[in-house]
Amino acid sequence: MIGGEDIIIQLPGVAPSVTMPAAVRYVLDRWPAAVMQDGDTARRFDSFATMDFGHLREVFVYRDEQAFDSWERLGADATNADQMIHLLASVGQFTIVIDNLQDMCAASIVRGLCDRLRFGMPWFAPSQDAEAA
Amino acid sequence: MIPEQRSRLQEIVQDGKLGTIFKDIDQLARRIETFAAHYAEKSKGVPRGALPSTLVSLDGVVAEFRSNPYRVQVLLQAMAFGCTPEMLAMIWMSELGCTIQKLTLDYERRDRAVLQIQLRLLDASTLEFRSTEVWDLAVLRLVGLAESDDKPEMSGFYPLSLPASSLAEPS
Repeated sequence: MIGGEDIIIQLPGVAPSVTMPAAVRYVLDRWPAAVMQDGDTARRFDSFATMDFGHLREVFVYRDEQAFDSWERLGADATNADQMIHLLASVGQFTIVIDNLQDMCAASIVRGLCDRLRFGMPWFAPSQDAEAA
Repeated sequence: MIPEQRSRLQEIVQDGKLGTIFKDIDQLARRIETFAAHYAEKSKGVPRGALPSTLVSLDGVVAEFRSNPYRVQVLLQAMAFGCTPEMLAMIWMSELGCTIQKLTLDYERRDRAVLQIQLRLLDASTLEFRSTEVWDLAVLRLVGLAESDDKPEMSGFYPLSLPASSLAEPS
């Protein structure tokens, strides 16, 4: 089994229908062959264009098709570590769940994603430190 | 425009708090149709599969609001800023997953403001967009910024948003 670390970003007043696409897009830039899945319905998305962000609140982003298949078969098995990022959005808050912040690639994605959501978007969200829970 | 479309478009405008700008819904509908026509023009000659097979029309934009309100809000905000159909088409392609490969701004006071954007399409081919209209620089207000491994990235367009508390009048 693998565990998970939660990184919570406070974005006062910002809607999940905007934060989620911003986050998914960032991960897609890092993992161009990623496969996305709705965390609520398990619906799979093969492209950014077909995702309905007006309704998505929880998204699993798998590194690639192989990672998606492996998660489907084995779930949270140790062999699947660092192959998926779990994103959760609600009004004013965004949560990133990853297996291991010590993994350099994952840590780089998390750092870039936090900076993107806090400083790189056309909204004013006072700087809030990400909290590791 | 059929009454249902007008009413839906009116709701979208109100939802985006753009009612004071788009008072004439029929005129807005015409602007969306002009944008859609330009999008179709830009798409001509683009290889099959390079762009998502999404319907780009007044109906398509109205329908997109149900599944992706932020995409339509970005488009309307860009229209509100006075962006040309060239930049609106670029924004919409980006909203559908195309990425900004290169952006060049050549500005000199009282002389020129030339904005050139190269989009990387879904099949890795590229498409160029160019404008000399100063109002098109408003796209820079809406672009998402990021760093990947300490390298710069402009990625997607998002609606301007201010938390309610920051909109309060000073007492």
